[in-house]
Amino acid sequence: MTAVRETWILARRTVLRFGRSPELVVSSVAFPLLLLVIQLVVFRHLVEEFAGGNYLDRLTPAVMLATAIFSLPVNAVGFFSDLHDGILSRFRSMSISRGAFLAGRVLGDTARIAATAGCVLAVAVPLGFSFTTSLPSVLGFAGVFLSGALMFSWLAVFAGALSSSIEAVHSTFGPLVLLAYFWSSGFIPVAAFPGILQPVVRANPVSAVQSAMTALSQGGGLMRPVTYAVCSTAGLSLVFALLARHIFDRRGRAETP
Amino acid sequence: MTGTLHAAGTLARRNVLLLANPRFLSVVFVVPLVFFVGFAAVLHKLLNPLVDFAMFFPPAIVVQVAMDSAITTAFFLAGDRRDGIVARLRSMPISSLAFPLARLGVDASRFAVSATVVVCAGLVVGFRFEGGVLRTLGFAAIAVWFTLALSALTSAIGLRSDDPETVSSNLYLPYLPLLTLSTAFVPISAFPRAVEPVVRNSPVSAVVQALRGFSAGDITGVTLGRAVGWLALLSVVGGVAVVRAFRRAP
Repeated sequence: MTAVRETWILARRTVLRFGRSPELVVSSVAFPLLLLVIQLVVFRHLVEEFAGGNYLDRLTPAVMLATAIFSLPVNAVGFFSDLHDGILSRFRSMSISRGAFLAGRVLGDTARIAATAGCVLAVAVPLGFSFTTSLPSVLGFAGVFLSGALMFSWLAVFAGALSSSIEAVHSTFGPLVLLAYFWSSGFIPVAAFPGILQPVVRANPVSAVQSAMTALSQGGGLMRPVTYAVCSTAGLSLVFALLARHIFDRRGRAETP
Repeated sequence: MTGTLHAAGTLARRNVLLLANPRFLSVVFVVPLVFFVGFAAVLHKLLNPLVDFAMFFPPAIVVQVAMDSAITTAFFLAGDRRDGIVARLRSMPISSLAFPLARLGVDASRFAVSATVVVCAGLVVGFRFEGGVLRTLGFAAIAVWFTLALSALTSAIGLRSDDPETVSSNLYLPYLPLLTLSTAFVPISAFPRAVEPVVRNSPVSAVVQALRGFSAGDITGVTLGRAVGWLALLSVVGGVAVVRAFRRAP
């Protein structure tokens, strides 16, 4: 019970701290919205010419997930600062569970990402995105999205724990998240990638989440895309969480006399 | 004047020394290649029916790297202001030009290395300079001028902030539409008619078209004139802004 309460309090702290930096709020909402509009303007013609269909069906889920992808460096730096600015030592002296410290950060980040993605959806609908499926599918759409957002939040915590400096977070994970987004079926259809890259694009969890979300909003076979999206994001969340926990515990032992 | 240059030289040496670490190698060599490969993979099949991709694509990444470099300039200067370096230098009897000159000089050189990496990657996939030595030099001159003029402008913004992360993340907001709503990545024919005038008159389009003209060897007076006009304007605005910002920075 206490662990749940601690997690809740720390998650609130994460969200509140973010809310107190107006510049960060503006840029983290404006960036995905800009991405949505710009990609639509620049790529719609090319992609619809190449593959047919409505580009927004694929783009909307992808840009929703992009809020999680591109906030990774910010979240990782936030966690890095928590580790090094003394707040962690303070929490340690208060016998707060370590799991709560990590989980609070991840839940707070995920909540914030979900709110930003909601803004993306609110703009995509007037641009022409719509749900043609039933309510359970729409709930599944939200669920698959949250599973993807949770994975990127755990990756951010892992990145923050692993890195030795703020610059290292940016230089290692900046290019990584860029490629995770570019080389996904959310940007352009798999068939438009060079043959040699297609297996990579298919395996990319970003593609998995986007395909599942597109299927859940537009109809089509659900079994394969949804299963793969949920399994890959849940599996990777677990891996990143265990790795983050491992580094975090080791660091704790090194600091305790 | 020699005093200014001497001071700028000393400061430039400091900027270079600050860059001498493994992460610098990643930013200068690896990140441009990631962009090159990342974008090429996405665009190659989509653009092939419209343009000669090997000739069309590398100038886009050169322009993108130039814009990235300008954002890094603002990032470094905001950090210098936060750390009190700017206040310290202003209290010393050195020209107010020396500090921005040192920053711009080092960042332009860093850009030149990255741009060379990009051009070499281009040569591997079939990019060629088909216009002889003079036009090749024209390509280099436009590219370096672009990053210098843009960096002058972002320097002024960086000097007004003392939070490097925020200033660079805010600069990515104008960066994204400027870069993408231009003919850098996609030819004008693929844009919706409504945004065509924006794309046609974008400064980034002017620069990238001049780079393409110089590399293909078919540059026209109009293309060059547009680029030079934009760059001259940007240089004047940026130059005035940066000197004023340095004089005012607390």
